[in-house]
Amino acid sequence: MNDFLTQSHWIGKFTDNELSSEQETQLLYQASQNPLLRNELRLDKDLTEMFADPELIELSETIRKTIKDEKSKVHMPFYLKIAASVIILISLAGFTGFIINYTNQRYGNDLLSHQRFLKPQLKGLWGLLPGNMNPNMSSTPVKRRAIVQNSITDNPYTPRPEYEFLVGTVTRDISVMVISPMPRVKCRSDSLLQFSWRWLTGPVPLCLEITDNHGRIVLNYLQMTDVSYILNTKQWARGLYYYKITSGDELVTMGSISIY
Amino acid sequence: MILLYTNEWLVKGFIEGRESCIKYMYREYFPMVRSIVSTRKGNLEDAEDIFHDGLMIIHKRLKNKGFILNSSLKTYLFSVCKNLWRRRLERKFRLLYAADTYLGDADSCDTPEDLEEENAEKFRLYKKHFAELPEFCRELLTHYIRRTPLEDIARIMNYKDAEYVKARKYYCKNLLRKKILNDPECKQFMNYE
Repeated sequence: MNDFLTQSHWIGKFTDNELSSEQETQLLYQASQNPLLRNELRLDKDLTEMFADPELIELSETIRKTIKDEKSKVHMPFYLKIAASVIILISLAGFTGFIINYTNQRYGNDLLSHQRFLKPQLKGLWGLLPGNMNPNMSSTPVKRRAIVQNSITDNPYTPRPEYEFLVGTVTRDISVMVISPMPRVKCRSDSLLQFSWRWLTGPVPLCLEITDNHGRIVLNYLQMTDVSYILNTKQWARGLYYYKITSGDELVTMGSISIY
Repeated sequence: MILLYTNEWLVKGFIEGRESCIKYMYREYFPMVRSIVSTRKGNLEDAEDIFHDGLMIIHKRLKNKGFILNSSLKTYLFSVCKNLWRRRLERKFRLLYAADTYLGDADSCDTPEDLEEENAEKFRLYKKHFAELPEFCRELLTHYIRRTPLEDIARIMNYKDAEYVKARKYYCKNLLRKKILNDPECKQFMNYE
Protein backbone atom coordinates (compact mmCIF):
# COMPACT_ATOMS: atom_id res chain seq x y z
CA MET A 1 0.00 0.00 0.00
CA ASN A 2 2.81 2.31 0.91
CA ASP A 3 4.48 1.78 -2.46
CA PHE A 4 1.21 2.24 -4.17
CA LEU A 5 0.56 5.50 -2.39
CA THR A 6 4.00 6.98 -2.86
CA GLN A 7 4.11 6.03 -6.51
CA SER A 8 0.68 7.31 -7.24
CA HIS A 9 -0.50 10.88 -7.24
CA TRP A 10 -2.54 10.59 -4.10
CA ILE A 11 -0.21 12.72 -2.04
CA GLY A 12 -0.33 15.57 -4.52
CA LYS A 13 -4.05 15.25 -4.89
CA PHE A 14 -4.45 15.27 -1.11
CA THR A 15 -2.54 18.56 -0.85
CA ASP A 16 -4.61 20.01 -3.69
CA ASN A 17 -7.84 18.78 -2.02
CA GLU A 18 -8.71 16.72 -5.04
CA LEU A 19 -9.28 13.38 -3.36
CA SER A 20 -12.74 12.02 -2.76
CA SER A 21 -13.79 11.63 0.87
CA GLU A 22 -13.25 7.85 0.76
CA GLN A 23 -9.83 8.23 -0.78
CA GLU A 24 -8.93 10.87 1.79
CA THR A 25 -10.01 8.68 4.69
CA GLN A 26 -8.04 5.79 3.26
CA LEU A 27 -4.95 7.90 2.84
CA LEU A 28 -5.15 9.36 6.34
CA TYR A 29 -5.56 5.90 7.79
CA GLN A 30 -2.48 4.74 5.90
CA ALA A 31 -0.59 7.80 7.09
CA SER A 32 -1.42 7.07 10.71
CA GLN A 33 0.16 3.61 10.26
CA ASN A 34 3.13 4.64 8.14
CA PRO A 35 5.69 7.27 9.28
CA LEU A 36 7.25 7.44 5.80
CA LEU A 37 3.95 8.41 4.28
CA ARG A 38 3.45 11.04 7.00
CA ASN A 39 6.84 12.49 6.15
CA GLU A 40 5.92 12.62 2.50
CA LEU A 41 2.63 14.35 3.21
CA ARG A 42 4.38 17.02 5.30
CA LEU A 43 7.11 17.47 2.72
CA ASP A 44 4.52 17.87 0.01
CA LYS A 45 2.81 20.51 2.12
CA ASP A 46 6.15 22.30 2.56
CA LEU A 47 6.79 22.19 -1.17
CA THR A 48 3.35 23.54 -1.93
CA GLU A 49 4.00 26.40 0.49
CA MET A 50 7.33 27.08 -1.17
CA PHE A 51 5.74 27.14 -4.60
CA ALA A 52 3.10 29.53 -3.31
CA ASP A 53 5.64 32.38 -3.03
CA PRO A 54 7.24 33.02 -6.42
CA GLU A 55 8.82 36.23 -5.11
CA LEU A 56 10.83 34.29 -2.57
CA ILE A 57 12.01 31.86 -5.24
CA GLU A 58 13.02 34.77 -7.44
CA LEU A 59 14.97 36.35 -4.58
CA SER A 60 16.70 33.08 -3.85
CA GLU A 61 17.67 32.73 -7.49
CA THR A 62 18.99 36.30 -7.57
CA ILE A 63 21.12 35.66 -4.47
CA ARG A 64 22.48 32.43 -5.92
CA LYS A 65 23.19 34.09 -9.26
CA THR A 66 24.96 36.99 -7.55
CA ILE A 67 27.12 34.65 -5.50
CA LYS A 68 28.01 32.66 -8.60
CA ASP A 69 28.79 35.75 -10.68
CA GLU A 70 30.83 37.46 -8.01
CA LYS A 71 32.70 34.27 -7.23
CA SER A 72 33.75 33.87 -10.84
CA LYS A 73 35.20 37.39 -10.84
CA VAL A 74 38.80 37.67 -9.80
CA HIS A 75 38.98 39.84 -6.71
CA MET A 76 42.44 41.15 -6.20
CA PRO A 77 43.52 41.64 -2.58
CA PHE A 78 44.01 45.24 -1.51
CA TYR A 79 47.77 45.02 -1.18
CA LEU A 80 48.00 43.59 -4.72
CA LYS A 81 45.91 46.49 -6.04
CA ILE A 82 48.35 48.95 -4.43
CA ALA A 83 51.33 47.04 -5.81
CA ALA A 84 49.80 47.01 -9.29
CA SER A 85 49.11 50.77 -9.09
CA VAL A 86 52.71 51.46 -8.05
CA ILE A 87 54.08 49.33 -10.89
CA ILE A 88 51.85 51.10 -13.42
CA LEU A 89 52.90 54.53 -12.13
CA ILE A 90 56.59 53.61 -12.25
CA SER A 91 56.19 52.25 -15.78
CA LEU A 92 54.41 55.42 -16.91
CA ALA A 93 57.05 57.63 -15.32
CA GLY A 94 59.79 55.58 -16.96
CA PHE A 95 58.09 55.75 -20.32
CA THR A 96 57.62 59.52 -20.05
CA GLY A 97 61.24 59.95 -19.00
CA PHE A 98 62.37 57.85 -21.92
CA ILE A 99 60.34 59.94 -24.37
CA ILE A 100 61.71 63.21 -22.96
CA ASN A 101 65.25 61.94 -22.99
CA TYR A 102 64.97 60.44 -26.44
CA THR A 103 63.36 63.58 -27.88
CA ASN A 104 66.10 65.82 -26.46
CA GLN A 105 68.84 63.52 -27.65
CA ARG A 106 67.41 63.17 -31.11
CA TYR A 107 66.99 66.86 -31.67
CA GLY A 108 70.30 67.64 -30.00
CA ASN A 109 72.19 65.06 -32.03
CA ASP A 110 70.57 66.18 -35.24
CA LEU A 111 71.54 69.77 -34.61
CA LEU A 112 75.03 69.09 -33.38
CA SER A 113 75.88 66.67 -36.15
CA HIS A 114 75.23 69.32 -38.78
CA GLN A 115 76.13 72.54 -37.05
CA ARG A 116 78.19 72.45 -33.92
CA PHE A 117 77.45 76.10 -33.17
CA LEU A 118 73.75 75.46 -32.83
CA LYS A 119 72.46 74.91 -29.36
CA PRO A 120 69.59 72.40 -28.92
CA GLN A 121 66.77 74.11 -27.08
CA LEU A 122 63.86 71.70 -27.36
CA LYS A 123 62.61 70.85 -23.90
CA GLY A 124 61.22 67.35 -24.25
CA LEU A 125 57.51 67.02 -24.84
CA TRP A 126 56.86 70.54 -23.63
CA GLY A 127 58.80 71.89 -26.56
CA LEU A 128 56.07 70.62 -28.82
CA LEU A 129 53.43 72.82 -27.22
CA PRO A 130 52.22 75.73 -29.36
CA GLY A 131 53.13 78.24 -26.65
CA ASN A 132 56.79 77.42 -27.06
CA MET A 133 56.82 77.99 -30.78
CA ASN A 134 56.83 81.75 -30.68
CA PRO A 135 60.41 82.36 -31.92
CA ASN A 136 59.14 82.27 -35.48
CA MET A 137 55.88 84.12 -34.95
CA SER A 138 56.63 87.03 -37.23
CA SER A 139 56.80 84.66 -40.18
CA THR A 140 53.19 84.88 -41.27
CA PRO A 141 51.47 82.07 -43.18
CA VAL A 142 51.15 84.31 -46.22
CA LYS A 143 54.89 84.89 -46.29
CA ARG A 144 55.66 81.24 -45.80
CA ARG A 145 53.20 80.26 -48.49
CA ALA A 146 54.84 82.74 -50.85
CA ILE A 147 58.25 81.31 -50.08
CA VAL A 148 57.05 77.79 -50.71
CA GLN A 149 55.34 78.87 -53.90
CA ASN A 150 58.48 80.53 -55.20
CA SER A 151 60.71 77.73 -54.12
CA ILE A 152 58.88 75.46 -56.51
CA THR A 153 59.80 77.62 -59.50
CA ASP A 154 63.11 79.15 -58.37
CA ASN A 155 66.18 77.39 -57.10
CA PRO A 156 66.11 78.14 -53.41
CA TYR A 157 69.81 77.50 -52.91
CA THR A 158 71.24 79.89 -55.50
CA PRO A 159 73.50 82.33 -53.65
CA ARG A 160 72.81 86.06 -53.96
CA PRO A 161 76.08 87.78 -54.91
CA GLU A 162 75.33 91.17 -53.33
CA TYR A 163 74.83 89.48 -49.94
CA GLU A 164 77.34 86.70 -50.36
CA PHE A 165 80.40 88.95 -50.25
CA LEU A 166 79.23 90.46 -46.96
CA VAL A 167 78.72 87.14 -45.18
CA GLY A 168 81.02 86.72 -42.22
CA THR A 169 83.19 89.67 -42.92
CA VAL A 170 81.22 92.64 -41.74
CA THR A 171 81.26 93.84 -38.15
CA ARG A 172 81.02 97.58 -38.18
CA ASP A 173 79.68 98.19 -34.71
CA ILE A 174 82.26 97.15 -32.16
CA SER A 175 79.90 97.71 -29.22
CA VAL A 176 78.17 94.35 -29.99
CA MET A 177 79.92 90.99 -30.20
CA VAL A 178 77.90 88.25 -31.93
CA ILE A 179 78.59 84.83 -30.41
CA SER A 180 76.31 82.62 -32.43
CA PRO A 181 75.47 81.56 -35.05
CA MET A 182 78.50 81.31 -37.21
CA PRO A 183 78.39 83.23 -40.49
CA ARG A 184 77.51 80.16 -42.52
CA VAL A 185 74.96 77.89 -40.90
CA LYS A 186 73.55 74.70 -42.31
CA CYS A 187 70.64 73.13 -40.54
CA ARG A 188 67.55 71.02 -40.92
CA SER A 189 64.12 72.52 -41.42
CA ASP A 190 63.02 71.48 -37.94
CA SER A 191 65.95 73.03 -36.08
CA LEU A 192 66.17 75.69 -33.44
CA LEU A 193 68.78 78.28 -34.22
CA GLN A 194 70.15 80.40 -31.47
CA PHE A 195 71.26 83.95 -32.03
CA SER A 196 73.29 85.29 -29.13
CA TRP A 197 75.47 88.30 -28.58
CA ARG A 198 77.01 90.42 -25.84
CA TRP A 199 77.07 94.16 -25.52
CA LEU A 200 80.47 95.51 -24.70
CA THR A 201 79.48 98.96 -23.52
CA GLY A 202 75.81 98.77 -22.70
CA PRO A 203 72.55 97.36 -24.08
CA VAL A 204 71.64 98.72 -27.47
CA PRO A 205 68.44 97.59 -29.24
CA LEU A 206 69.24 95.28 -32.11
CA CYS A 207 67.30 94.30 -35.20
CA LEU A 208 67.34 90.90 -36.87
CA GLU A 209 66.28 90.65 -40.47
CA ILE A 210 66.19 87.45 -42.48
CA THR A 211 65.72 87.36 -46.21
CA ASP A 212 65.63 84.53 -48.68
CA ASN A 213 68.04 84.22 -51.57
CA HIS A 214 65.76 86.42 -53.69
CA GLY A 215 65.92 89.27 -51.25
CA ARG A 216 62.39 88.87 -49.86
CA ILE A 217 62.15 89.61 -46.17
CA VAL A 218 61.09 86.50 -44.29
CA LEU A 219 61.51 87.78 -40.74
CA ASN A 220 62.06 91.21 -39.33
CA TYR A 221 62.51 91.24 -35.60
CA LEU A 222 63.04 94.62 -34.05
CA GLN A 223 64.23 96.01 -30.76
CA MET A 224 65.85 92.96 -29.33
CA THR A 225 66.99 93.79 -25.83
CA ASP A 226 67.78 90.23 -24.66
CA VAL A 227 71.14 88.64 -25.20
CA SER A 228 69.72 85.81 -27.27
CA TYR A 229 66.99 84.96 -29.71
CA ILE A 230 65.83 81.50 -30.75
CA LEU A 231 64.69 80.97 -34.28
CA ASN A 232 62.52 77.97 -35.02
CA THR A 233 62.91 76.86 -38.61
CA LYS A 234 60.31 74.16 -38.37
CA GLN A 235 57.81 75.76 -40.72
CA TRP A 236 60.35 77.28 -43.06
CA ALA A 237 60.80 76.16 -46.62
CA ARG A 238 64.11 74.63 -47.55
CA GLY A 239 66.60 76.98 -49.14
CA LEU A 240 69.24 79.61 -48.58
CA TYR A 241 68.53 82.54 -46.28
CA TYR A 242 70.57 85.54 -45.22
CA TYR A 243 70.40 87.05 -41.78
CA LYS A 244 71.41 90.57 -40.92
CA ILE A 245 71.82 91.97 -37.42
CA THR A 246 71.79 95.72 -37.25
CA SER A 247 72.07 98.24 -34.48
CA GLY A 248 70.27 101.37 -35.51
CA ASP A 249 71.67 102.25 -38.94
CA GLU A 250 74.84 100.23 -38.50
CA LEU A 251 75.27 96.67 -39.64
CA VAL A 252 76.65 94.39 -36.91
CA THR A 253 77.01 91.19 -38.82
CA MET A 254 75.61 89.21 -41.71
CA GLY A 255 75.45 85.49 -42.37
CA SER A 256 73.73 82.77 -44.34
CA ILE A 257 71.48 79.97 -43.20
CA SER A 258 71.09 76.99 -45.44
CA ILE A 259 68.02 74.98 -44.53
CA TYR A 260 67.81 71.53 -46.04
CA MET B 1 31.59 50.57 -10.41
CA ILE B 2 30.94 50.22 -6.66
CA LEU B 3 28.16 52.46 -5.36
CA LEU B 4 27.78 53.41 -1.76
CA TYR B 5 24.36 52.78 -0.26
CA THR B 6 22.94 54.19 2.89
CA ASN B 7 21.30 51.73 5.23
CA GLU B 8 17.80 52.96 4.30
CA TRP B 9 18.42 52.67 0.57
CA LEU B 10 19.90 49.25 1.01
CA VAL B 11 16.95 48.01 3.06
CA LYS B 12 14.49 49.44 0.56
CA GLY B 13 16.33 47.97 -2.42
CA PHE B 14 16.69 44.62 -0.72
CA ILE B 15 12.97 44.39 0.06
CA GLU B 16 12.31 45.08 -3.62
CA GLY B 17 14.83 42.36 -4.48
CA ARG B 18 17.13 44.64 -6.48
CA GLU B 19 20.13 42.78 -7.86
CA SER B 20 22.45 45.76 -7.42
CA CYS B 21 21.70 45.84 -3.68
CA ILE B 22 22.32 42.12 -3.33
CA LYS B 23 25.59 42.52 -5.23
CA TYR B 24 26.61 45.34 -2.94
CA MET B 25 25.71 43.26 0.12
CA TYR B 26 27.71 40.35 -1.20
CA ARG B 27 30.78 42.52 -1.78
CA GLU B 28 30.56 44.33 1.51
CA TYR B 29 29.10 41.77 3.89
CA PHE B 30 30.09 38.37 2.56
CA PRO B 31 33.70 38.57 3.89
CA MET B 32 32.20 39.07 7.35
CA VAL B 33 29.98 35.96 6.97
CA ARG B 34 32.91 33.99 5.58
CA SER B 35 34.99 34.90 8.59
CA ILE B 36 32.19 33.79 10.97
CA VAL B 37 31.98 30.43 9.24
CA SER B 38 35.65 29.84 8.54
CA THR B 39 36.69 30.53 12.11
CA ARG B 40 34.17 27.94 13.30
CA LYS B 41 35.02 24.88 11.26
CA GLY B 42 33.21 25.87 8.07
CA ASN B 43 34.26 26.17 4.45
CA LEU B 44 33.42 28.54 1.60
CA GLU B 45 30.34 26.59 0.52
CA ASP B 46 28.98 26.67 4.06
CA ALA B 47 29.57 30.43 4.13
CA GLU B 48 27.65 30.88 0.88
CA ASP B 49 24.76 28.80 2.21
CA ILE B 50 24.69 30.77 5.44
CA PHE B 51 24.81 34.05 3.54
CA HIS B 52 21.94 32.91 1.32
CA ASP B 53 19.83 31.70 4.23
CA GLY B 54 20.60 34.81 6.26
CA LEU B 55 19.40 37.07 3.46
CA MET B 56 16.26 35.01 2.97
CA ILE B 57 15.41 35.27 6.66
CA ILE B 58 16.08 39.00 6.79
CA HIS B 59 14.02 39.55 3.65
CA LYS B 60 11.09 37.73 5.18
CA ARG B 61 11.38 39.70 8.43
CA LEU B 62 11.76 43.04 6.66
CA LYS B 63 8.61 42.38 4.67
CA ASN B 64 6.72 41.88 7.88
CA LYS B 65 5.03 45.23 8.65
CA GLY B 66 5.46 44.90 12.41
CA PHE B 67 9.21 44.39 12.18
CA ILE B 68 11.45 47.35 13.09
CA LEU B 69 15.12 47.20 12.24
CA ASN B 70 16.95 48.91 15.11
CA SER B 71 20.50 48.34 13.90
CA SER B 72 22.30 48.55 10.59
CA LEU B 73 21.66 45.82 8.05
CA LYS B 74 25.24 44.67 8.37
CA THR B 75 24.99 44.20 12.15
CA TYR B 76 21.68 42.42 11.79
CA LEU B 77 23.00 40.12 9.08
CA PHE B 78 26.00 39.39 11.27
CA SER B 79 23.84 38.30 14.20
CA VAL B 80 21.48 36.25 12.01
CA CYS B 81 24.33 34.47 10.24
CA LYS B 82 26.17 33.84 13.48
CA ASN B 83 23.06 32.24 15.03
CA LEU B 84 22.39 30.24 11.89
CA TRP B 85 25.87 28.81 11.81
CA ARG B 86 25.86 28.07 15.54
CA ARG B 87 22.59 26.15 15.22
CA ARG B 88 23.81 24.28 12.18
CA LEU B 89 27.00 23.29 13.98
CA GLU B 90 25.03 22.18 17.01
CA ARG B 91 22.89 19.97 14.83
CA LYS B 92 25.93 18.46 13.15
CA PHE B 93 27.64 17.78 16.46
CA ARG B 94 24.55 16.25 17.95
CA LEU B 95 24.36 13.85 15.01
CA LEU B 96 28.04 13.05 15.19
CA TYR B 97 28.71 12.69 18.90
CA ALA B 98 25.34 12.08 20.50
CA ALA B 99 23.36 10.05 18.05
CA ASP B 100 21.41 8.52 20.87
CA THR B 101 20.23 11.89 22.11
CA TYR B 102 16.69 12.84 21.24
CA LEU B 103 16.90 15.07 18.15
CA GLY B 104 13.82 17.13 18.76
CA ASP B 105 14.93 18.49 22.10
CA ALA B 106 13.47 21.58 23.63
CA ASP B 107 16.03 24.15 22.48
CA SER B 108 16.11 23.15 18.83
CA CYS B 109 12.94 24.85 17.63
CA ASP B 110 11.44 26.84 20.41
CA THR B 111 11.04 30.35 19.00
CA PRO B 112 9.55 31.70 15.76
CA GLU B 113 13.07 32.86 14.82
CA ASP B 114 14.32 29.31 15.11
CA LEU B 115 11.54 28.08 12.87
CA GLU B 116 12.33 30.78 10.35
CA GLU B 117 15.96 29.78 10.30
CA GLU B 118 15.10 26.15 9.82
CA ASN B 119 12.64 26.99 7.09
CA ALA B 120 15.29 29.00 5.28
CA GLU B 121 17.58 26.01 5.27
CA LYS B 122 14.82 23.73 4.08
CA PHE B 123 13.96 26.19 1.36
CA ARG B 124 17.56 26.25 0.14
CA LEU B 125 17.74 22.48 0.01
CA TYR B 126 14.42 22.21 -1.80
CA LYS B 127 15.65 24.74 -4.32
CA LYS B 128 18.85 22.79 -4.79
CA HIS B 129 16.93 19.62 -5.60
CA PHE B 130 14.48 21.52 -7.72
CA ALA B 131 17.40 22.67 -9.88
CA GLU B 132 18.45 19.02 -10.33
CA LEU B 133 15.07 17.92 -11.72
CA PRO B 134 14.72 17.04 -15.42
CA GLU B 135 14.16 19.97 -17.74
CA PHE B 136 10.48 19.28 -18.42
CA CYS B 137 9.76 19.00 -14.68
CA ARG B 138 11.45 22.29 -13.92
CA GLU B 139 9.56 23.98 -16.73
CA LEU B 140 6.25 22.53 -15.66
CA LEU B 141 6.71 23.36 -11.98
CA THR B 142 7.91 26.88 -12.85
CA HIS B 143 4.66 27.45 -14.74
CA TYR B 144 2.80 26.02 -11.78
CA ILE B 145 4.63 28.37 -9.37
CA ARG B 146 3.74 31.33 -11.59
CA ARG B 147 0.14 30.19 -11.40
CA THR B 148 -0.22 29.74 -15.12
CA PRO B 149 -3.60 28.07 -15.85
CA LEU B 150 -3.33 24.35 -16.56
CA GLU B 151 -4.83 24.77 -20.04
CA ASP B 152 -2.15 27.29 -20.91
CA ILE B 153 0.58 25.02 -19.58
CA ALA B 154 -0.81 22.22 -21.77
CA ARG B 155 -0.69 24.50 -24.79
CA ILE B 156 2.82 25.80 -24.05
CA MET B 157 4.28 22.37 -23.35
CA ASN B 158 2.37 20.54 -26.08
CA TYR B 159 0.48 18.29 -23.67
CA LYS B 160 -2.82 16.66 -24.44
CA ASP B 161 -4.99 18.44 -21.86
CA ALA B 162 -5.11 19.94 -18.36
CA GLU B 163 -5.60 16.51 -16.78
CA TYR B 164 -2.37 15.29 -18.27
CA VAL B 165 -0.61 18.42 -16.99
CA LYS B 166 -1.90 17.61 -13.51
CA ALA B 167 -0.64 14.05 -13.78
CA ARG B 168 2.79 15.30 -14.88
CA LYS B 169 2.83 17.81 -12.05
CA TYR B 170 2.17 15.07 -9.49
CA TYR B 171 4.85 12.96 -11.06
CA CYS B 172 7.37 15.82 -10.90
CA LYS B 173 6.52 16.68 -7.32
CA ASN B 174 6.83 13.02 -6.45
CA LEU B 175 10.28 12.98 -8.05
CA LEU B 176 11.28 16.06 -6.09
CA ARG B 177 10.07 14.54 -2.81
CA LYS B 178 12.07 11.39 -3.44
CA LYS B 179 15.21 13.40 -4.14
CA ILE B 180 14.78 15.43 -0.98
CA LEU B 181 14.04 12.43 1.22
CA ASN B 182 17.09 10.58 -0.07
CA ASP B 183 19.42 13.48 0.65
CA PRO B 184 21.43 12.93 3.89
CA GLU B 185 21.68 16.67 4.38
CA CYS B 186 17.89 16.91 4.46
CA LYS B 187 17.64 14.08 6.94
CA GLN B 188 19.64 16.19 9.40
CA PHE B 189 16.80 18.55 10.03
CA MET B 190 13.71 16.80 8.69
CA ASN B 191 12.82 15.42 12.07
CA TYR B 192 9.15 15.05 11.32
CA GLU B 193 9.05 11.70 13.05
